[in-house]
Amino acid sequence: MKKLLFVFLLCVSFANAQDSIQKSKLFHRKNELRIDILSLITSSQFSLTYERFCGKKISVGVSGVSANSNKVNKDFDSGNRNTIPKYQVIPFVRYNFTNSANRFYFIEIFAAANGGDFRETVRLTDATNNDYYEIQKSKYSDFAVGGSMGYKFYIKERIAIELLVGFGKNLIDIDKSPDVLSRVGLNIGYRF
Amino acid sequence: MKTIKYFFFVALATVLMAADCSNKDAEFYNDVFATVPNLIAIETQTSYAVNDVLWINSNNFSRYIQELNLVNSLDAYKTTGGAQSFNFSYLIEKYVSADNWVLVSFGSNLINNKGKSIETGEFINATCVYNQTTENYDFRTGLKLTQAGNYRISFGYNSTSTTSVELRSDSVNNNLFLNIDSPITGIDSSGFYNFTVN
Repeated sequence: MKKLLFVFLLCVSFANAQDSIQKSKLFHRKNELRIDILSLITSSQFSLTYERFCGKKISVGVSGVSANSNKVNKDFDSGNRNTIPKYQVIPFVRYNFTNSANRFYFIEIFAAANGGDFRETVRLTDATNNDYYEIQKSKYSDFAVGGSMGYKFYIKERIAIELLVGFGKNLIDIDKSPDVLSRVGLNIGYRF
Repeated sequence: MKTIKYFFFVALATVLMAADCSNKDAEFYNDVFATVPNLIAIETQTSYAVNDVLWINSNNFSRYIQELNLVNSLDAYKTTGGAQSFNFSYLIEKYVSADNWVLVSFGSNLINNKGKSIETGEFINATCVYNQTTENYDFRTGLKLTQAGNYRISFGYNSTSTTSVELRSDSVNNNLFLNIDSPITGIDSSGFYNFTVN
């Protein structure tokens, strides 16, 4: 009997949740564009995201990131870092794991094609058979996979505010590319 | 809902910590290292008397330094983008009583013959200066011994090793810093050259 009651309550709860999602106007607005204001302010990194809502729980999208920070460039030249990430193209799939369309937590998995500049110190031999060290700069390109989680809410069911935190791991050019790609952002967007 | 929130923030913290670890960008990439024995030497005497001068000498080491176990010489000048000097530090202490040594201040009794030594109050900062003509890094400083007693010299004040002199290039304009670990002879296992002034 207790088991039956439990299943019944679960069904009622699930039905109510579905109802609350379906009542939202957001359900009929399936597209969203966002920019990441946190990265723009803190690291001169421009990030534009398009997201398509495919159903009540699932959405897909892609982010394009372009970076050109003076501080990062300076750190690279002075030897405080050995890479400068320049671009990222990040397709992702998200799952809303709370029962609201207006404010909800989500998780996502993403892939990231990324690239930038790399520096290393190499030992060379000159014409008189004396060795010396030299800094050599080159490009890297890599592919990462990772996961993120975040929280999103809407103002007037149009303006999206989203906090996102996650990281991915590069898989291919690992001698040159950064080990870890962070995906952290405070996004503001428009849903239509 | 509360459980989900707690889960979310714990997961968030975990992700941030994980993202912060194992990052190649937490290092300094403008350092290179070499091991070259006996770049710095103490001009030792069998005995010392008051007003003798004890000399510390780089023997004007060449820009082409011979590393331990390597065939080709390393061009220190080219590696560092033309560093005009290399620095190291040392200090001299005088014995007072058991386990009690005091720092000796030399003032005008510090004789800069080549390169320079500057007392900082805690140690002496030594600079081997590049000579464009000879292509050597020159350094020779004399310490005039004005009082009798037992003394000891250490090169380990700013070093990770007590039995080596650690020299670092004065590199500028984002050029590489060359760090030379130079084992020195004539010191004990604790890294001291002990001598007595009679």
